[in-house]
Amino acid sequence: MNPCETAAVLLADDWQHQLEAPERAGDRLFLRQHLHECAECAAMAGLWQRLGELPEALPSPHQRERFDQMLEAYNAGQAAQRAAAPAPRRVSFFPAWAFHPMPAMAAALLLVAGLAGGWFLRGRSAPAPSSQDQQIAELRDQVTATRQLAVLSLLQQQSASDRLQGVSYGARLSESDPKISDALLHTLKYDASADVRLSALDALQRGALHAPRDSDLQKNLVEAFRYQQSPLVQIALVDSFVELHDQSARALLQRVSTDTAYSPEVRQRAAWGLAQPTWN
Amino acid sequence: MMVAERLRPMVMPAPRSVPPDALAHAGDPDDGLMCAVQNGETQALSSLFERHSGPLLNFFLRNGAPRASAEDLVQDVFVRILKYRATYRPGSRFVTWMYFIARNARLDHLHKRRGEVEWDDVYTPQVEPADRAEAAQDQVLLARALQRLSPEKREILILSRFQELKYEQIGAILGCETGTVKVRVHRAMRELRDQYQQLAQRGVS
Repeated sequence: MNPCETAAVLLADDWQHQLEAPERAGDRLFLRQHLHECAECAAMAGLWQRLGELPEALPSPHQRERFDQMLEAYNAGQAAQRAAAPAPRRVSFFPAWAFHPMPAMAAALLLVAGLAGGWFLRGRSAPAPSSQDQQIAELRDQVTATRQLAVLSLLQQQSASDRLQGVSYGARLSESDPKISDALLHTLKYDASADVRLSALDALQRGALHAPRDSDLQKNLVEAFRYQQSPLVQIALVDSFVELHDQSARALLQRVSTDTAYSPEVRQRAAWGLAQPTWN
Repeated sequence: MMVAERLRPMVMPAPRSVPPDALAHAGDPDDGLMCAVQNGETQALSSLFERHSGPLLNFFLRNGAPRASAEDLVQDVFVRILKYRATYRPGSRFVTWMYFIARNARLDHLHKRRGEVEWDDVYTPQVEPADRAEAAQDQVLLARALQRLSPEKREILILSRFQELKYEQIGAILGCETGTVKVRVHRAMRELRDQYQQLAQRGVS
């Protein structure tokens, strides 16, 4: 083995700090002497040193926010799944279809409807204003919780058609339920299917039209733009900014209209969006 | 059964040369945090994110990902950590397992975006104004030389130099023996030196 080959083995050990052990003092000395004599090996050793001095990129604070949102959504999804999971059974009383998301949700809604009917009829025969109000409020809470559970559960399903169904149910509730609105926003950002993301955007946009002053939602829609790879969703978002008269999106559209990283169709749409009277 | 099938690709195979407990690392705070995540304390993942999101971001950037994709991939790694937490072996090195996941996430990302050019972007380090002139030029040259390496060579240098993983950990991630990692690191460094010298002779505009 020539000195350079020996040095190559020792250098690889040195890079892992393995030559610092006292019993390897001989190897350390050999390597040091060789690096004084051999320019090629010394260049490689120097390069290793300078590689370690390359500056590192720092994570943006925004990344932390995204993580927190993801964790929150994950925990909410897990809680919903736990609540929706059937209790362990020794004997299967219900048929298997009862545990599929759609029939289960339909059954839950029927149950709630039945309960509502029961409360209503009982309320008519025995009016007791204060307790009746309380019961109705409780019932309303139960209905809301069941619907919320069903939507969150559907949005967690593997199948894109189940998630689409979840978005569709969620669209009816998103205006009044911030949890559903957050879940739809999460779907818009992270769902693997462009169809589901488009559907979530549609649902959020409908909610935003009913609450045009919801600046948080508008800000979140602007933020969701950067998560999108699909030109279809990008164009749909541009359209929603225009429709919602979202002034906070103007800077984004200006940047997108000139940034060649986006497809020509998206740039063109952003330029079109900027030309609309919305901004005046 | 279905869940087990889905998890199978994520279970890290122990290389034959490494005894089962060679990757274990007593007193590793990451291990404690990951065990807490396994036990349903998902908030412990926040501490793991705090400790590792920066190195992970740089892992993806140095492997050629644009900033937005690198941030998405960091997010993806933590989603996968949650999803596949059952496959983590308590007492083993968390970082080795995490980079195994990160590598898979990166390969999946590349596979999905096959044919697109985004990963050809060159990661150029941002140099502080005070460090201009020679140092800045040298760092740009080094970063470009690194990008000119084959993905395999670049990856092994990133894992050993920037992520400061031990050869046996890299072997566990790449599925090869420790001796092989050592040889590959040296070959990658030799090629990096050659690329760097070529660029330096040509000069970078």
